[in-house]
Amino acid sequence: MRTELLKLAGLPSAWVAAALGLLIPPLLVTLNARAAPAGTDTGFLELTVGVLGPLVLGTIAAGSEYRGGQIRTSLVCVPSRARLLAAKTGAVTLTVAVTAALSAVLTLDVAGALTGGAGPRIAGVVVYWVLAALLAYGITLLTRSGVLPLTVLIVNTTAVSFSYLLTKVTPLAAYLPDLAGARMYLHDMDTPGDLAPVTGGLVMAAWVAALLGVAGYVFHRRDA
Amino acid sequence: MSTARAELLKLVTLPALALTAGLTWGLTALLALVADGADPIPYVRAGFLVLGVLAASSEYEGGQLRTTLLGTPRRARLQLAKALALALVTTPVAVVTVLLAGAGGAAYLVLITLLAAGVATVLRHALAGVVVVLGYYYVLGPFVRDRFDDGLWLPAAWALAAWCAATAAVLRRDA
Amino acid sequence: MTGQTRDRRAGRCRTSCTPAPYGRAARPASDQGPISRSGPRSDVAGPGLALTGGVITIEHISKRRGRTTILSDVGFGARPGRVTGFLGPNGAGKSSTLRILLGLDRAQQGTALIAGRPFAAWRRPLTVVGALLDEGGAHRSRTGRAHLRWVAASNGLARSRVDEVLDLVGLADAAGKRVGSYSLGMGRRLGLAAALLGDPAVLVLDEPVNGLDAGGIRWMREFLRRRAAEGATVLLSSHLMGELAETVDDVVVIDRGRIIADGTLREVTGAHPSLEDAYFALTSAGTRGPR
Repeated sequence: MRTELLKLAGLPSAWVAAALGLLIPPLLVTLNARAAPAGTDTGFLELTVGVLGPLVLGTIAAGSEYRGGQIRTSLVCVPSRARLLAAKTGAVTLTVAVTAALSAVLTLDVAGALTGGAGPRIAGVVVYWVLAALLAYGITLLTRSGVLPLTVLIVNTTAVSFSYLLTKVTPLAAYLPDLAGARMYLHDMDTPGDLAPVTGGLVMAAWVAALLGVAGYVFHRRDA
Repeated sequence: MSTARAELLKLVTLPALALTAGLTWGLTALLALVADGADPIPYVRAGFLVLGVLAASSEYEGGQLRTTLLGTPRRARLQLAKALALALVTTPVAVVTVLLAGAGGAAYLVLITLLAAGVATVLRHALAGVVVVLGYYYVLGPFVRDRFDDGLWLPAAWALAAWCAATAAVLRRDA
Repeated sequence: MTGQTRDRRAGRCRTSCTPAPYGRAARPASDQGPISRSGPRSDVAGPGLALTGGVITIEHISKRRGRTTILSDVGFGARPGRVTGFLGPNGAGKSSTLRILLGLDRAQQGTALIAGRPFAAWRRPLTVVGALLDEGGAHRSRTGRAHLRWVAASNGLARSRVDEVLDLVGLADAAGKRVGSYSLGMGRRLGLAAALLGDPAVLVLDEPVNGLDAGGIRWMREFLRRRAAEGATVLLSSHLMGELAETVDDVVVIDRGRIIADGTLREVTGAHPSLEDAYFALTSAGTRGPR
């Protein structure tokens, strides 16, 4: 797994992605402070948008292998595709987890919401960011181009959310990965159903596991 | 202008662009049907931004820029032709989108496409272009937009600025 | 003065641009006298080409990138009817020189002229110069035919030319497939097809046999010799000595950004048993490890 971490660290775009995740939520908090009054979800809403960073990271991690035939080099070093995928997944998870924790603490501090009870909610943010990054990673592995998944995911994460729109159509939409996962740390959600934080996390994790399973299978069978 | 004709041919024969246009139309129709009252344009705007990014960044894949410059070494003229061709191709896509959505303005959509293409030309990379353009419009945009009204002159000014920056970059850089 | 301003805007050289008044060419230092080429090409590209033939003139080119000097007072020429080989170790500056010649990169000093004008000054460059560079130059999701069609359109060339060049390079069957599915050799042949669309009198090729199999290499060699025999100017760069010695008439050797030999194949080989020996003697390639 260390090689995968090193590979990731060698990508300048990965650092940009990490920076995005680290800096956007605090920035948004400062921008928002003027407009919205404080509520139960202050700081956490901005952290939802900050998932942009992990999404980009996940996309890059998957896409970088396809660029320039690097995939052939990687496969020569680690013949088992399954192990390669596992190592990559691990690298992405670790990187995003660290970024998430740092960003959460920073953002909440700026928002003045860094209280004792925030601990479990910060954990929720970290898990959400990791799962979101893996989601982007898996989809990019499948589609081989990062553009489509990144577009959909970015648009969906911000104010103009498809998932949210779908909840108007069917209550089942509350089980989509991003909405379910957000339950892990957002208390004031405007969606139907009432998922407990842990349940929400599990739903999102299930989505990601299924996606990675499919992506892994396809990756395994595909020509390099 | 033969350069513009070549640029048109390039755009029309790039499968990713047709795919993006098709997906955008499909999404617009779907949203218009499903979410009564909600304006599809803020969602569908992304399609046009991506269209612009893909159109511009395709030049930097496979070393195609060199082939282009070998046929058209005058770079300012090339940039002008590219802008015209992109506007020409995007307009019907925008018109259909507006018809499907029952709201919005085609000119606005064409302008943001040009803007996205300008940004992508400076960045030379599809993914970076997508992140910057979408990141601006969807993440930072809501804050900025509240301060300005809804006229067309602002997107037009931005599109022009982006295109000038792109042209300057193309003129200066080694191929 | 007007000519000079025009060249300065349209061309890529900064200093000492020799303006070429329409119809007459500047006298390059290494010119052996105007060599005319008769035939239909002259009215496609303009009278200037007919008078000078497709002479390539490169003089005093210097290029720096940051603090590294890539090229230092590089100058040589290539004449019509001959194949000129541009030889040097990797990183010596071959590609940089060719890219400057073709207006893709900028030099801080010097001139690089084709038939007396900088590349960018030609109105329809593809009818004068055809270039094959290292990367394929085509986007992977277009078909081979679609790629050639837009290249042809950019210089106002007839669509029939597309099928003609496809036949010439043997890609007629694969033209409907996406470029991404092409093998390395097919990709290079597509690049060559694009270079031939305008039926140019000058061909500039950067490592043309890179990635070709034995049959492809032989085909390329015979093709280039045939073009030269018909009167074209062929300039090709390579680091494969054996193949080059079979193909070229004149040789220019570059090492570390400087020209160290320039003459006919016989002159440059000199007393050495082969071009390869001469090359290693002249350059530092023999004393370094592989780069």
